[in-house]
Amino acid sequence: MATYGEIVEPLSRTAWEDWDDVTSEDKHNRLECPDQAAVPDIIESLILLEGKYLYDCMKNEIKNLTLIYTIKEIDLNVYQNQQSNVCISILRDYDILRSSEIVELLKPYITVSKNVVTIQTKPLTEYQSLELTNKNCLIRTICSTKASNLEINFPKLQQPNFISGVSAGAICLRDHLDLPGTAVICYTEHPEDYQIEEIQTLLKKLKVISHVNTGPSNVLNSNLYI
Amino acid sequence: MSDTHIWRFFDDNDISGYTLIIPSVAVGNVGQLASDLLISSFDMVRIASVYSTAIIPVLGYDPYDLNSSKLSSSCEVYKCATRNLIVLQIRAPLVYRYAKPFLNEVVLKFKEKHVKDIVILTSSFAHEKKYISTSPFRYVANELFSRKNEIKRLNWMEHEFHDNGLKIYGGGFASLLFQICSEHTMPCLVLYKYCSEGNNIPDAYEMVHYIANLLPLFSEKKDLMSQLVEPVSWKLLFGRPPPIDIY
Repeated sequence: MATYGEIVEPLSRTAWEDWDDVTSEDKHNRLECPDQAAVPDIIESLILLEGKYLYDCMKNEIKNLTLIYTIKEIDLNVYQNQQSNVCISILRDYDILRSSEIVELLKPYITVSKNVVTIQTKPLTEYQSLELTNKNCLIRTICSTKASNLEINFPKLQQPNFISGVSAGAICLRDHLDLPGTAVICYTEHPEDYQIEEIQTLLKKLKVISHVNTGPSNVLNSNLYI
Repeated sequence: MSDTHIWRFFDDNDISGYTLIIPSVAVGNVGQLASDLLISSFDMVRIASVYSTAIIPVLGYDPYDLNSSKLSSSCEVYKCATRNLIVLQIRAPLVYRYAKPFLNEVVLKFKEKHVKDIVILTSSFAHEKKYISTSPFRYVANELFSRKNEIKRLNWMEHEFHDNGLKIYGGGFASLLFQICSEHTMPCLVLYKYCSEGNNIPDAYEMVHYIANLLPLFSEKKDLMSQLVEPVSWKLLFGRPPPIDIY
């Protein structure tokens, strides 16, 4: 709690750099791609998964994938499904200030891949709309100008909603290179409590997971005895 | 890691002699809101989109037209041919480490296109204002800025320099961009307003009113307020309606 007379910036501002304080330049080291990170010659699709829910979804699947590289500093793992030429990048949690740096790191994959699909979950409360809804899950997409041949049929994200971070950067870069890309945004109330069937089906369709798991992932599904 | 700046121009027509407005991402986002108001009011046409590692990526659909399927990103350039005006709208904060090369490129790109001058719109913390009964606006112009006499006639208050270099607390990259403009002999004006975070739409209106005294942007025959059109994206600036479950 602030003391009397103390000036406190709103919480929404604390993530940003303080331009009045020049020392902020040295906050992070520059990200470097590991030497062994070879980019495959052909990538059918690059699937970029952001957030804890998707990270958990992939926990049981990564054993079937080949790890290309990992950067612990930003919780980034890049895998390849060698049978389907699909690369999967998983980002659990990162500092939004490093988004464009991470996109730059993934740029060789983003530019080589025939398709790029990003998937992320966001709290439903962040979805801005004049329409009142009692749904607990809404899935929306943002597509680059060049149409993708992957059939991802969700409604487009209505203004003034927008996305930020690595997914936004990846699709924006694809658009500037006149290449197809799709961002899928899943607004949900309780992303950790149950499996989102539409997302599971999409992951299966994109050859990211081998089977759809629509069962609850909460305490009832755990080993706890109740 | 190398820096990437990709400029995609949709319209390569001549923009020589135009005034370029650049908002700095600052306290209350006043410059950005004022730029939004200008883009919407003049129905400005998007002429370029910029991808850069220097800006935090954001992506959505056109915030000025709900029916549009055009993408809208962190940095875009809008043009109004009838008013010789360009606005470089920046929708996300710049990353300090990569900002200088990017801003350098911005200035050089528009210098190459023979833009007349650059006007930087920004804001500063309200608590930094020392003379409380004076106007909340301050300006700084470099020697090359051609409208200095006009500014004197308008009796605008100049920024007070206390040490070497321009320092606008809470003003984001405005000082750095002003310095870069001066280094590249680009005529430049910085206009800023003292404000606090909150509903900064009134600040944006005031800033547009203020700049309209200097730049002949609006018709003098009509009331200025009647010529301003709020962007549709401002409708939900403070969130959606309350959930029906609470009633």
